[in-house]
Amino acid sequence: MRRTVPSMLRLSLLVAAALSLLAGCNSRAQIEARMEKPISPAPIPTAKSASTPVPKLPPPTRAEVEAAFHRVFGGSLIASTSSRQFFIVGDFNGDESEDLALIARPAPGKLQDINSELSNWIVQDAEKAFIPPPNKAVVKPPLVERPAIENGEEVLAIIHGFGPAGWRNPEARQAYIVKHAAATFEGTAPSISQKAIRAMHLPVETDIIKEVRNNRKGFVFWTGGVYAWHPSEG
Amino acid sequence: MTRRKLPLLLCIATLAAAFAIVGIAQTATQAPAAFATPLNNAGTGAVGNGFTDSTTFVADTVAFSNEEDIPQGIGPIFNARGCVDCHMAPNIGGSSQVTELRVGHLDGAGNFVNPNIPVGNTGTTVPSRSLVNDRAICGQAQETVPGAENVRALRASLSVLGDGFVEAIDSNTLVAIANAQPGQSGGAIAGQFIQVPVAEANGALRGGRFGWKNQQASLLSFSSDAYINEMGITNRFAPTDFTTVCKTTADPEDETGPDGLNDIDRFARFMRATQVPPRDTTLAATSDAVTGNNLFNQIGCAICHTASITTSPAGTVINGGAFTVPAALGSKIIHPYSDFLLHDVGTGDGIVQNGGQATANKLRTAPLWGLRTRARLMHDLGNFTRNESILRHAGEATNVINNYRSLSITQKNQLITFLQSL
Repeated sequence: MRRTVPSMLRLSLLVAAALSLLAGCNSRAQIEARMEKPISPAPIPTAKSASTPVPKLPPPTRAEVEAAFHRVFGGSLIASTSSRQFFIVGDFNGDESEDLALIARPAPGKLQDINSELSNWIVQDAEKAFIPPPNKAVVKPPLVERPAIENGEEVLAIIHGFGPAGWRNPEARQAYIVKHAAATFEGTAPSISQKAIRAMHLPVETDIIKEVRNNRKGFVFWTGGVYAWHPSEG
Repeated sequence: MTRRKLPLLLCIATLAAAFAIVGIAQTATQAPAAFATPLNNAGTGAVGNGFTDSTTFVADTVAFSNEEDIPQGIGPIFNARGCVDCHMAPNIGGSSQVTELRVGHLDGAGNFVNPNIPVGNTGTTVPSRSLVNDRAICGQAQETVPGAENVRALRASLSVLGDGFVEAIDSNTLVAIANAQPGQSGGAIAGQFIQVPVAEANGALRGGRFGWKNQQASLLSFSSDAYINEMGITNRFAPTDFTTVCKTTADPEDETGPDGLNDIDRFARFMRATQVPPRDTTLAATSDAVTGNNLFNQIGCAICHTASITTSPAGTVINGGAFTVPAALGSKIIHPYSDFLLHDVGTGDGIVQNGGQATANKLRTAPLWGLRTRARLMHDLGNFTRNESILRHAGEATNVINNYRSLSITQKNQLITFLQSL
């Protein structure tokens, strides 16, 4: 049967009304109270049973040290493998993973790579590290000029460990090249053993590198973001 | 056109219109983006996102910018006299160039313990509070850090621009992001979602998303917390000062105005009404920025620095029932470049707030929107270049940052160009 024009009009109005209702219901359903679905509170461990000790790793071999050094710095630095001890290990940044520090100097022709703003390591000066004043709450850190490593300059190259294997881990590639910190190593010590560091209230406990630099005894320590040098007490 | 075809076309047009209406109701749209709260104590030029009308937004911008004095309740211990003191760059509500101090110590088992901070030489202390205020309304009230509190952290105050949209993200969306991360990263990355009390909902729990430790879930709770902790102004959710030394005012100091609102309500309303930080669209359109964006995704930065999140639909009741997402904030696509989850990326500050001891060295992924307006980077403002900030990431981010190290200088420049477009 052939539909008449009025019946088509009625049909279209009916469809329009139905769809309007549908749209209205849809909007209303959205606007109507829709509670954010509650999430079961996860149990929050409130206390550690004991502190996690830094894994005891075997003493480093020279081959391991050189492999890690090359992995991180490529040919940009040359390790200063002279008669004195040129590397030392410890948890220098307090993340419970063993780190490696070496004395090194720029390889010939590599200064530009070392000092590149887009290098794979952070270049910093241990004598210009910002240490927040201990009794100042609101602090505006100073802008520190990025230092440049110079030809022949001895630097402290530090590779941060990653995970239980520490600096030996092939993924351990976070590195710092530190000016005014290369010296004769005298071992490591807990940072809290130093009165000066205790007074700084630094965020983490670390191992410091004790050393003699330009006939001055001192130590290199992690501030929480960079390495700094401080003369020994007494 | 014949008369016979007219009703048929009308019917089709009606159908199309109806589907369009349904479609509009369900389709998410981009959140409005602009730096539109110029530093101006009169609020002139402030343009909101539509959550409030223009007059209200300007008035709330002024409230957010007001400096308070002792009669209004500042102190006895405080850090700033107005919200804008710490949230002003590049516009009102932005970030800060100063950091604040939190301290504490570890017990024998290595658990973080909140300190008791001496108040001047009064023999009294502010008990169990990691934040240390730098200022006091009198010398006797000044807090000083005891030597035994040897865990110390500096944190920059954060931008609040666009935070109304962040508040409107469903907590389940954050959980879904967290659940996806291990699979996206070979198990290396696992953001931690925590729930925190919502003050205006009698402590009902909701997914934390504000503050470096995700210690707040709602902007009203955040306003109350900041008012008491940063300015020393007691309010209906924080009715008591941390010390009464030199105190002359009655509590709560945040008085109810003729409109029935308190300052904390106006602050929350201001934040809810701000637009999100905009991209530098010119730079973003360059081929370097586009390539850099692809690299950002490819090497894994976007696993935590999540590019896009859609807020809950309008009408969703959040904050434990205390707030309903309005149309201005609902179903909006935002580009915060953050997952608003806690991660250990080797920069953690050792402080525990709401998330338990496991969060001591975790921080919320910093949203990268508005990054181009920041000269100092990371939670402690300790880094000044994009490259060094990237290299400072370790821990969960180690593999991602090693991917970055493997990029060529050209590619690194492209990635940094992309970051500079945010």
